[in-house]
Amino acid sequence: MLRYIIKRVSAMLLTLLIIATITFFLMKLLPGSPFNNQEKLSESQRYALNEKYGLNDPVPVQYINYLGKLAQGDLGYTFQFDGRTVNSLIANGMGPSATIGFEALLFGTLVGLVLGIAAALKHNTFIDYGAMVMAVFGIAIPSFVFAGLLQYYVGVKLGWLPVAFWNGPEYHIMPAFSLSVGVIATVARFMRTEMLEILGTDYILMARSKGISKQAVIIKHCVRNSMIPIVTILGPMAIGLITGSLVIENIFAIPGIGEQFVKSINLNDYPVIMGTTLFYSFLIILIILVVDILYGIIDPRIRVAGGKS
Amino acid sequence: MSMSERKLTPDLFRPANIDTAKGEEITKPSLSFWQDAIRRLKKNKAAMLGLFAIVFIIVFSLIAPSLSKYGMDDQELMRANLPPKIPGLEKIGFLGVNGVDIRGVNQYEMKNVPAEDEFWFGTDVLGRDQWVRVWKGTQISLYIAFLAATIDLIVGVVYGGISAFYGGKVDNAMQRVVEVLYGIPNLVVIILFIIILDPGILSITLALVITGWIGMSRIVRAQILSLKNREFVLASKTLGSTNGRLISKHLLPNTLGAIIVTSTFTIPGAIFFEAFLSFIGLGIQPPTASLGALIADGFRSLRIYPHLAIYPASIMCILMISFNLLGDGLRDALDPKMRR
Amino acid sequence: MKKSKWSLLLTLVLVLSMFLAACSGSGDKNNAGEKKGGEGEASKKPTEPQVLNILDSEEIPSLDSSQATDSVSFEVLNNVMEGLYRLDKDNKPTPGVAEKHEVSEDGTVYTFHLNPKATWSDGSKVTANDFVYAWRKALHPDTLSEYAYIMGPIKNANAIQTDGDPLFGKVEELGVKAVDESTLEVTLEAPAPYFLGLTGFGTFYPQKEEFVKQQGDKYALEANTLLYNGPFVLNEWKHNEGWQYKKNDKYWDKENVKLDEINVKIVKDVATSVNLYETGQTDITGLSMEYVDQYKDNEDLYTRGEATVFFLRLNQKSEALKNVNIRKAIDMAYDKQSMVDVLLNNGSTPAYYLVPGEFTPGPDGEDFRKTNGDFGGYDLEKAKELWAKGLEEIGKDSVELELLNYDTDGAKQMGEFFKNQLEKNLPGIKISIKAQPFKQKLDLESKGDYDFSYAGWGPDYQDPMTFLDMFVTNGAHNQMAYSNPEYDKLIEGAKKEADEEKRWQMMLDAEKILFEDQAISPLYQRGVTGLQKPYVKGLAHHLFGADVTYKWAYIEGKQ
Repeated sequence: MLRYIIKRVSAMLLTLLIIATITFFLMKLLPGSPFNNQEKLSESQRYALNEKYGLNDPVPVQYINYLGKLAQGDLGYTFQFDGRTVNSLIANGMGPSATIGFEALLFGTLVGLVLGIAAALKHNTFIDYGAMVMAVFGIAIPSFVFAGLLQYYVGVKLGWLPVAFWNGPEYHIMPAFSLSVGVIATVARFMRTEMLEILGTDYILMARSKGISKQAVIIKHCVRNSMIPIVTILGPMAIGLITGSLVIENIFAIPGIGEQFVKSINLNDYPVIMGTTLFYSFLIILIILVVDILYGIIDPRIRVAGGKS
Repeated sequence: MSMSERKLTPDLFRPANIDTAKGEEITKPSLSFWQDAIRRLKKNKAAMLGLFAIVFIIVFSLIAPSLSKYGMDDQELMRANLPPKIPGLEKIGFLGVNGVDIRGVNQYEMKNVPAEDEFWFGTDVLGRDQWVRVWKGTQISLYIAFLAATIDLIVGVVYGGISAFYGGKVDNAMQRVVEVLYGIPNLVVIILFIIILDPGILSITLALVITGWIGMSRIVRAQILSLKNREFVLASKTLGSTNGRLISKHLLPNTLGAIIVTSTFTIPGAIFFEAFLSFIGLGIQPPTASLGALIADGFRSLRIYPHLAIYPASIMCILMISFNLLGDGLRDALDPKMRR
Repeated sequence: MKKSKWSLLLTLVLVLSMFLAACSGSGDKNNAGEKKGGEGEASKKPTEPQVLNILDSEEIPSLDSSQATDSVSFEVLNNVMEGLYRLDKDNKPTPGVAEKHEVSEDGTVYTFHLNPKATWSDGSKVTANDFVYAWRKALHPDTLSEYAYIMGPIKNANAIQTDGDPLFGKVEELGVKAVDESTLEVTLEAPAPYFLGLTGFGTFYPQKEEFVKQQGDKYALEANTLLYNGPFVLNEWKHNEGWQYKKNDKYWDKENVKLDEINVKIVKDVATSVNLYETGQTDITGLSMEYVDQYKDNEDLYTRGEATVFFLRLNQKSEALKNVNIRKAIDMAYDKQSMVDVLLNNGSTPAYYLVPGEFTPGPDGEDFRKTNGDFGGYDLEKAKELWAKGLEEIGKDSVELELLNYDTDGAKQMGEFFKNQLEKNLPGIKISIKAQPFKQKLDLESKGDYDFSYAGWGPDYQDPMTFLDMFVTNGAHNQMAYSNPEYDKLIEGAKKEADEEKRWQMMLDAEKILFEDQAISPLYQRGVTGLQKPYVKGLAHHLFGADVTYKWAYIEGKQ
């Protein structure tokens, strides 16, 4: 196992290096300069500013400098905010984004599991259809529409929850809920299918006929076994929540990282684009790794196959 | 009727006529895998409803624009932001299609629109007929989605297939490439694509594809990995089947179910992602509009001109639900484990 | 200067920095305000908390006055810092750190006498050296400001920032000198009547060298690593969330500062800020076009004109646009009035000119715009006639042009409108639209890689020159291969002319030439619209530099 992990971690570092290289050269393809009021700069001023930020050096030199700093964990300075490091931007923005993402994931998974289990147990009944209609609506409505409606009706019309901002726990409810709708839908559908499949297997029938109570069978056998595939989809879903929360962050005025990232692309803020991309990539690869290892622990059959690939 | 009341006498029994030839006779009509799948799909009402809705929307999106005398980009600022008005349904108040806006003003009268001009879905800020734009937008959304799904399918199947079939070093190298692609947030790639290529339908489709095929390739790879060690493949190999035969006769047909199901989910995914791109301003370029772009535009004036967002949003919602229902139905129909 | 934020402004029009001052009704100028401050203070204070809650659309990019480049930074700096002069409600310079000044005969040497009561928030005096240090810092190659060109009027400023010039980097050669602790002498390249207003601009603020050096890399990164000398200090600065101003007790004119606290929150979505306004969590919000109809009858609604002008750059590298008749035809072929009324709907006015209206009064007191009048207008028949003539001259019967556009929603709509109008009204024209993110658009523009583009320009100082010198031959901002020696001569002459009236006439003539050539097709002068609670009073809005001053603002009648 340890050897497997070491192997995976070194592969991960190599992947990150490749991603760093690709993003670096992609940045060089972007037209335009990162300076904020470039429209009013003259040619010589632009040259002087490029000199100040080392942008006049030959590209290979810039690349080596970049990698050198990267090795020390230094992602450089942003062009948008005077004197601030990319590290500090990511550190500031990560908190709220991760909190919202985690809350949405937790809430969404729990509700999704309950809906999915209920639907499977009451297969082809009103409950089943109701749960699935809810789930399908969850994936059919764009999150920006849902969040906007929620904000207007719950925040303004009813006045139950704060309209926006990021202060106390009550401020988390609407954004986390809007973000979790997709999670609920996905988890509920997955869970239902898995449960139905397992409910039909022989060993469940066997367990029942041995006289084990229905509840015990459902909890000990059905739910636990259905959970395995859920673990796999949670990884990519978590990534989606962290990177995809930008619209929600925008609508609820949450000081997160998603919006920052899109803005940096529009403003040619190279260090922030590269830094955030690398950071995201790091997270994604880490999550894949953790899921693989977890999966191996939960289900011994996978370890054999996983070790091979 | 209880057993004891009636006496069982031997003359009630007769020896069965055993015909050995009959043992081999098949009483049910023989069904291939696909016939069986279609039969099961037909029994699934929700999936059939979804299929019907999709077909209806596709056909209607092709016909509907010609029902209006206006084109996609016929602007007239004098008739901007008109609420919907459908002749015949005007009397039915709750439908809100009588040309009166939410402030209770009949905009058609106020803006002196000629009586014969009726906009079934209202008009947008440039005075364009929303009916035409919504259906054209539906066409475009569907076009992008189908194109993206098709390219995803081809690239994903080929890549995943090769990776799994050859295994070992080839697989390892190919999976590292996937990991790198998977690791770069797709927004970056997409934005670069849109900036470097000229923005348009094709570049958006390509941008969707460039990271989209990975999901398909993973599923195909997983399927083939598990299939290629199965006994029937081994048997076929032992009997001297070529690689080509193995792939075309054994591996692919058995993966097809998973591929079809994945594709049905890729299509709504692509529609949705295009809508998201439109919302952050990277979508289709005007005056062309997709459903997503129309919703994003209309949503901003939802409280004053609700008709701009409601119609495209409803159509998108129906499309998404239909594709999902169909996908679910197909999965149930194609999954041999569900065969009962 | 607001250029860097257009893309956002266009979409959001969440220009919280823009409020209506007119509703205060008192129209009190500085001295009137002083009187009022004296008597009003005691009675007003106890009954009404002087707290203003507002929104902004962006995090503050920089609080180092020599590095700031954008409207958010300049607005915050304007309220926590002070230059030699400060702009009042009527955009006239009013004393800041400087008490008074003298100008030499030839108009090139300014001597400023600093107010002895002007202090930093640590209690030390603001000295002439603080100005010298800050101005040199903005030009030094190691700390070169992206806004360094604004110092252009000062002697040697341009040479110091030009690589290769013998004076490059020699900041000691800059025409600024501390005669003694409270006397500052500034030498200009040439007379610049607008220079006084410029000293209220962010890049010209003082910085205390000792403090800056002591803070090193951390200077101005947090609320407590910065010294203030303005009417307010930053009490709290939560990055990406918001910031809070508190009244500055050490400010020399604190008697006239009425607000105790201003809370600013960052909100990027217009729908959200409107919702916050409705629930009373903000006193002011900007509105985008969609919301104007909804609040049309609301008495909180305000609209206000700005001095930013939008226009179509007609690139003469394009064969068709090289022809003056074709350029004129394009200008006449779309309806600017309905474009402004329907598509913008925010108080913008159609522009038939380059230098905005109600911006620069001339030596005779008459507005530049009024003197020069309008050029051109919507005239379909004439447009068609000129178009046919132009096509004949270039020997073609159809022309394909590419419109370079911003990628914001408002701009996209605008692009659709141009395309539709031109294609409908000018037979044989075919327009394709290329929408690009802000920076990429500017890049294509500066390379001249487009046919015509949707562009805009905001003033850097209160003088027609800030607009007019854009189009001199090979000027850095010309970007459309326009060249007219006569125009160049007038601009060059006006820059050197000491006689105000002659200078004014030269600029008037230059604008006329520009439109005889129809070098650009002007679109509109931007306005902003939003909602403001009636109890917010006394805000001062500016047409250039920082958008708003809170120094004289107060709350009245909230309870």
